Amino acid sequence: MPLAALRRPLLLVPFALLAAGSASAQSRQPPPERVAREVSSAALQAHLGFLADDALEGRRTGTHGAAVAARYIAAQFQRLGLQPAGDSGTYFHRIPLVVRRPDPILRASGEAAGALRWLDDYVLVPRLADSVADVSGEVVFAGYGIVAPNRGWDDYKQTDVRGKVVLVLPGDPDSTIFDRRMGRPWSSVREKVEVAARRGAAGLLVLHGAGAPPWDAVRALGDERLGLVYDDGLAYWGWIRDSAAAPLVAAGGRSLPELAAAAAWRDFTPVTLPFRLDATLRATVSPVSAVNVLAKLPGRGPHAGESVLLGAHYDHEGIGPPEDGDSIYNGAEDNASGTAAVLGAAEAFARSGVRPERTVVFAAFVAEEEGLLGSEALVLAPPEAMGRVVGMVNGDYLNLYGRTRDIGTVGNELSSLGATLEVAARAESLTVRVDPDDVRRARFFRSDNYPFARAGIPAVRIVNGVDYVGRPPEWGREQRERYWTERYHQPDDELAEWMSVDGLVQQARVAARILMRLADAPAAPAWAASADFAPASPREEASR
Amino acid sequence: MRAPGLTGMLALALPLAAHHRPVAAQQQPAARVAQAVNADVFAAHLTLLADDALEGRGTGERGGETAAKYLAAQFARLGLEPAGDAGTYYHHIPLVGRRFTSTLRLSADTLVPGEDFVAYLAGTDTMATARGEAVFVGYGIVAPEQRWNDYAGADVRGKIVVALAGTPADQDSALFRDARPEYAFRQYKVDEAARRGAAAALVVYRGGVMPVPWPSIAQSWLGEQVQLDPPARAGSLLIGGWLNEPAARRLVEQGGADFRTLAESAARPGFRAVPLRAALDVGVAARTRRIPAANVVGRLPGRGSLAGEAVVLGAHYDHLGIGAPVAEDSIYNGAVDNASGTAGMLTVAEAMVRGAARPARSVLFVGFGAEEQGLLGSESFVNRPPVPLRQIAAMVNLDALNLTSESRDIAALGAELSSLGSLFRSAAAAEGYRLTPRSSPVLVEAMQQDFFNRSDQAPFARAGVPALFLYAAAHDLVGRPAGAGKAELDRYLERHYHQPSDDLRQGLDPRVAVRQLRVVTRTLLAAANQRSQAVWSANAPYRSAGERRVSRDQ
Repeated sequence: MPLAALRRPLLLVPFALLAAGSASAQSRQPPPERVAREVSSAALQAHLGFLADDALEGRRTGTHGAAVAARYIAAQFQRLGLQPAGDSGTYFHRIPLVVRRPDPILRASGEAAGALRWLDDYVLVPRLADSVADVSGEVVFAGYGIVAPNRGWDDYKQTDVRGKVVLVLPGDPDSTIFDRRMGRPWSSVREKVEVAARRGAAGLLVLHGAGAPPWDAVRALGDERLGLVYDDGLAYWGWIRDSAAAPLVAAGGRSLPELAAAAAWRDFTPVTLPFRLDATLRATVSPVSAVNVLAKLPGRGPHAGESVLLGAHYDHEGIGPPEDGDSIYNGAEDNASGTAAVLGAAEAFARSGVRPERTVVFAAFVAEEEGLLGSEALVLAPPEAMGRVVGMVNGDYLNLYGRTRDIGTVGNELSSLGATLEVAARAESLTVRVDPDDVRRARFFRSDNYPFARAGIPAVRIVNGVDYVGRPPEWGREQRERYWTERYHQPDDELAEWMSVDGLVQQARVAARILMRLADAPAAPAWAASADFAPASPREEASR
Repeated sequence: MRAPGLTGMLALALPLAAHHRPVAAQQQPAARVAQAVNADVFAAHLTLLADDALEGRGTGERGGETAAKYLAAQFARLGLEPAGDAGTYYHHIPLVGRRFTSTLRLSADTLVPGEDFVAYLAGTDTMATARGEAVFVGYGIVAPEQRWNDYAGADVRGKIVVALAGTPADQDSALFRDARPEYAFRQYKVDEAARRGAAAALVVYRGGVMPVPWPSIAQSWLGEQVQLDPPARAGSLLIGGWLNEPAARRLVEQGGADFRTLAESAARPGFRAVPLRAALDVGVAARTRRIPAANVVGRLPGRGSLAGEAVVLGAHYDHLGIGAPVAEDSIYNGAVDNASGTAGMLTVAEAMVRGAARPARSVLFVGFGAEEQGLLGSESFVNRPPVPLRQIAAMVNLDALNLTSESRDIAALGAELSSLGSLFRSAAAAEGYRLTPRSSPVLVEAMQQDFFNRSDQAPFARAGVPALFLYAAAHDLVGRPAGAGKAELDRYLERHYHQPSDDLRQGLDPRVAVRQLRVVTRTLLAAANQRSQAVWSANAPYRSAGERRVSRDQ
């Protein structure tokens, strides 16, 4: 797409004149007000136009387009005089990303010893940097592999699984306890991996039985794919077919249905199985260059070591199969929009001259489309310069449709960030809306705020409202639906003449206000007591 | 010479002490805007433009396109008005790449392309031939202000003309002093022949006169020619080219004349064209491809009755792209040439917006494309200006900034040629600079290398627009031995100029740009705000072009 947005003439916004004329009046305003008023629609439009341009080639992680985008973002931070918050004095936080093509060997030892067939009996995803690694261990059946203190559930109990291979069931034992739409997706494989890694397991295999995705989908995990290198001891995770696991289990006189039945109860305790799994993790592994881009406005008070972070992923899908002759997946909404908002908010902070108490961090994440990998890598190995992040606001797929009377969110009920969002939205005359569609789509768990939440950092995601100024009542929802059905992850997710940054300006102003409030608040953001991300109580912690 | 600067600084300083009103309102506008030039802004643009990710910003390549998009985004961010084509920031450069194959026969003698000659098509034809008797037209110059006319009394219509490279000054230094340099250029001679109705024009390459060796010229013409869309037909002229001196000698001798005698006669006042009494048969065919390229133009609108006029701050954003590797580096980043000037242009634009400059004339900020192909972006800008040329009051060009060390002096090439020189002098003084002495080695080098004609100010000057070229070299560097400036210039030209090593690793200090850019900002504002347009000096070679420019009805 040509620079549709840049074709339109823009009115000159004389920031400096405003500043020169009323410098003293302005500094009497509360800081959130001072920051919000500096959000420039011209700047948002310019950033959006550049990032969504064909010249950026869809910004796929590891490609030229993503490299240009990262450097563009860094140049904007540098231009604003914001300090680098990445590795060793730079704006870049290099993530340990590799592309792996696995070719492993997996053998069971014990009474039913034998080799398992790659892609037919099992699939596994290595997590190490090595191209060959031997990982052997006793096998422990750990029920559903769920540890959810807030739901009173712990499949591991006191069992020591360090260096062992954990075998778990897919899904969860009780959908009334673990309703995905209502909270943290405890039943997801990702959460099971997280628990196994935290417990020091060497491997995790999920039994592929009832409730699992189709084997073809699982099998595809064995293709070449991008992934992080982890150093938490968990060497791999994967799936094993019931049919392959059943004889191994049976050799010890037990059966899979019997184990599954026991796992349905809270008092289940893990069962050590009478076989070992010896894996030789062979893979071709090559590094992929990928960076998060980070800048900060340093805090100045006793809380300066704490930081509050506004983030958005800048990567998208790159160049792919053409649709109507267009092969560039520009990702204008997903997520040039959010990246532009981060840059716009960063500029507003820099121009306003505010001096926040806590450090304010602006982050552009890479490799979101590969599974939130950039934000995950950031919380796993945060650069020292970033400070200790105590709260996070995420913008992913923001509003290019025009002014609204509402602003959408997911995750606002989980922490005190929800209340801060309320206040910030009200100052912009916006009501906060949690749309059932966003809850149904579990959108809190499908963007970069989720790794922050998993790491215990209160996080909230801003999404689009539905109530558009000058549009019929149902127009907003129709636009969303059209986006999901017609443009999402398509080359058509690009800028169009009918779009406008007016709504994005509103969202960026709200985000800036939230950040400023968090930065100057007496206390750091806190999880709601009922939230699944709240840290375990001291008693639960001690019982481990 | 320093007085204007001193009074300017006093005028700035006194009210600050006397009153309690906000500083910004007290400062003179120029000082306020100059103060808004920001080192972080400059460093950020420089870092991005010189990054490997921009792939050397090659014309027609991905990196060049990305750089153009970057400039447009920055202009948009600053709220500058699009001043290119059709409401966009992009001003199309009609660029083509052409490869020529040619034959040249001299009676029965077939000459060898690349060795004896090179030839090209002057118009858009895909092939053309010219044959017949050749006419020797001396240097092929018609210069009324020099009282010189090599075509006096000659009728060359439909004929093949042969002209010497250079000017009569090559043989007689009393002639063509202070003459327009382009009289020496091939392009001028071919254009002049076209105006006289010739069918073909061949310029004789002479080793002693031309600084570039013949094989380099021949090699460049055998490869693809990147050029502006040629006119449908340059009058009647079909073919232009170079004739190597030995081949020219054969041509002249076949007609029974002596080359040396003929060449000497060309430097005598009153020279008359001579038929060579030898037939030439020249044929050229071309293959052409379009190359996408654009200038990027943003406008800070002026206020009041002069708002329709403009001053231009230009810098070419293109460089050489990806090329032959040197020390395993194939990206010609062009950090100094000319990420530095482009970053400078963007930084001045930002200062004007942040410093709330309200100039009387509009300011056009221009990123030129295709400079490295021969100033083609600026030439196409002048050919099809977004603002009529007579309304372009001045042009300042940035092509390489000094990023080595702070200097005590600063220079602008062309300062002595127009009234912009005095504006520059005042601006320099206000920022605490002396003007670089004309006799300093760095300025002698600039004259010898003809730097003024080698960047984007040149097409503006030739079109009559008073122009300045901020010079990247200074004489006297702070904290360095005297003459260090020349050593730095030599080091750059020898080690980094047009090399992959012209990148950020050569040890550049972006902070050094700030004061230079403040001088540029002040100069531009002065040119934008003064009552009448800048004018050429009486002895400037561009004076008549300047008069034609302002009298033109557009």
